[in-house]
Amino acid sequence: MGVSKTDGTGAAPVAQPEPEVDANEAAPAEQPASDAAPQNEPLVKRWQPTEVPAAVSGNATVFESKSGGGPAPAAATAAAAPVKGPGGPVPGSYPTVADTQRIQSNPDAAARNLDITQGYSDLSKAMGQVVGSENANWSTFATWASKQAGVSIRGEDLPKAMTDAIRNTAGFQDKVDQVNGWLKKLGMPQIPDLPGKLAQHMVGTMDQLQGAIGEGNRKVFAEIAPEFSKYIDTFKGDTKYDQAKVDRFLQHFQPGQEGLRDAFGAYAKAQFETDPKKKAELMLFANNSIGMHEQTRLQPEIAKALNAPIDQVVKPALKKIIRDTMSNAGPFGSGKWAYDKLDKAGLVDKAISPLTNLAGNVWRKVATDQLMTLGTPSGTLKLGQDVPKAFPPNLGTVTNPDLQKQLNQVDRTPNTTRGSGANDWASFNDRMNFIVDLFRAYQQDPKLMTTPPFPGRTGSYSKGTVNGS
Amino acid sequence: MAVPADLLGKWIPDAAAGETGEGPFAELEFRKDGKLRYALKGEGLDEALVMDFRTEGHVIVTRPPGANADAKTKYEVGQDGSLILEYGGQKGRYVKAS
Repeated sequence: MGVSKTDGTGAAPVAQPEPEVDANEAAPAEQPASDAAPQNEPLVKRWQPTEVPAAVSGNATVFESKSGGGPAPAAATAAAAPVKGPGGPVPGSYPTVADTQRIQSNPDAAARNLDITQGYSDLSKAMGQVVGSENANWSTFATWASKQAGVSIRGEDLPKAMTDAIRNTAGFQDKVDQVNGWLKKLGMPQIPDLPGKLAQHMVGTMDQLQGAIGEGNRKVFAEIAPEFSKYIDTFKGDTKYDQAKVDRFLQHFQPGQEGLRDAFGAYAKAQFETDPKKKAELMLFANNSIGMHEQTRLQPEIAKALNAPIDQVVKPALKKIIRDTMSNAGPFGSGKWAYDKLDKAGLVDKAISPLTNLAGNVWRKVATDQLMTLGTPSGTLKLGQDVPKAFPPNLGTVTNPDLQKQLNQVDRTPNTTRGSGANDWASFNDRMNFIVDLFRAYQQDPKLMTTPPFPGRTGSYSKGTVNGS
Repeated sequence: MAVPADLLGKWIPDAAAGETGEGPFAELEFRKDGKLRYALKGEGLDEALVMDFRTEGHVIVTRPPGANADAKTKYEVGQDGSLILEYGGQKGRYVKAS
């Protein structure tokens, strides 16, 4: 599962016919594909003057072209009058390296996530202007994954999801009755609404999951977004492939960033490739390379989020409920003494083991659902199911030898999305097996290149909060 | 103060009565000398807490070791000979241990 949705790559399978997004989050069902700017055409500001809330229409609606400080005047002007420059995306229409550093350092996880999502979206568009927008770039996928991560980071649907999951789990009440029966034989009070109490404790511990998602979101953006910004700055306006220039650019990648170096090398080739199939394969190779790098980086957060629920979350919560009940309401003031004796003998653990295991499964399911769902303009994907879309014609088979080699390493079912669903999102191999098919199937989906709405935002990044206040 | 005769003896929760020995259970013993022995038994467990007790009407007053206040537990011996203890807002039914 994944904290991968914390950024771009970690999406999940199974699309349903309609996107499962609420009114505030929903992207327009049918936004014009023209939202994705054609190659080498100037980027039109995301927010036209009429779209900017009146109260803030005088402020910047775009990234600053310099780090720090308030809105950039040039950018504000650009928002009011779309620029059509000859050299690709204009400064201020996508985040600078300094902007990305400022965004990732925001301690407010929810506000930071919104900035990250918007940053990815603008980088995706700017990158599309440079290398071509007929194929999604990694930042395009990152936009939607980051948007989904925000739902988890803000905790919008956790309490209800947990309560529903417990209520709907077969056999849960039986296990609860077993615990209460155990207490009864000890002459101890029954625990009223034990499922509800347990759900409350478990939701409380979801902070850990939210923290892991937020940290993954930050970590990936901090490393990868600046590279997109640098690439755009370096290669926008170029009219021919310059191997020496590309080599110089790629020199700045450090050991451990080979995947990023390979990716941006491939983007550079794709930028000037005129054959649609060859170009599509170069873009896929680049996107996959970043995906693999990102998933490697995210492994600690993913493992932390998914592999600790029973011992570190469910069992302590249940034992606390029992201890409190016995201590506060046992007969003759003997409850605490009795609990301690039973616990020392291992009999509390033994008694709650069936309920703990079942609750752990519920916790993991909810956590997994949180990490293994990706809302896109083309539907809600579930990572545990196969990618529900066929590959586009020019990616049906692969001829690029680098791409073939790459797919041979991670794609268990070549040239089909069957078998792409991830069984265990904590497994790097399971994630990559899914992700390479996701990228391949959706690379030319124009809906993916639309701009997500950013409700409630002013668009200002200058103060590091959602509304710039 | 004399201990009510109907309280004397060993009691176990009715949920533990007739069981085959699965899981731990509690056993109460009210003694003539004013001592209450609260024991945990079963599954290899044999732990006991002995404390003084007295009755005030239908209330059993105890002071567990280390506690700084009395604990009060309502009780009633029913016509069927069972002991009903009330604590934590709930009633627990006990029967004489065989």
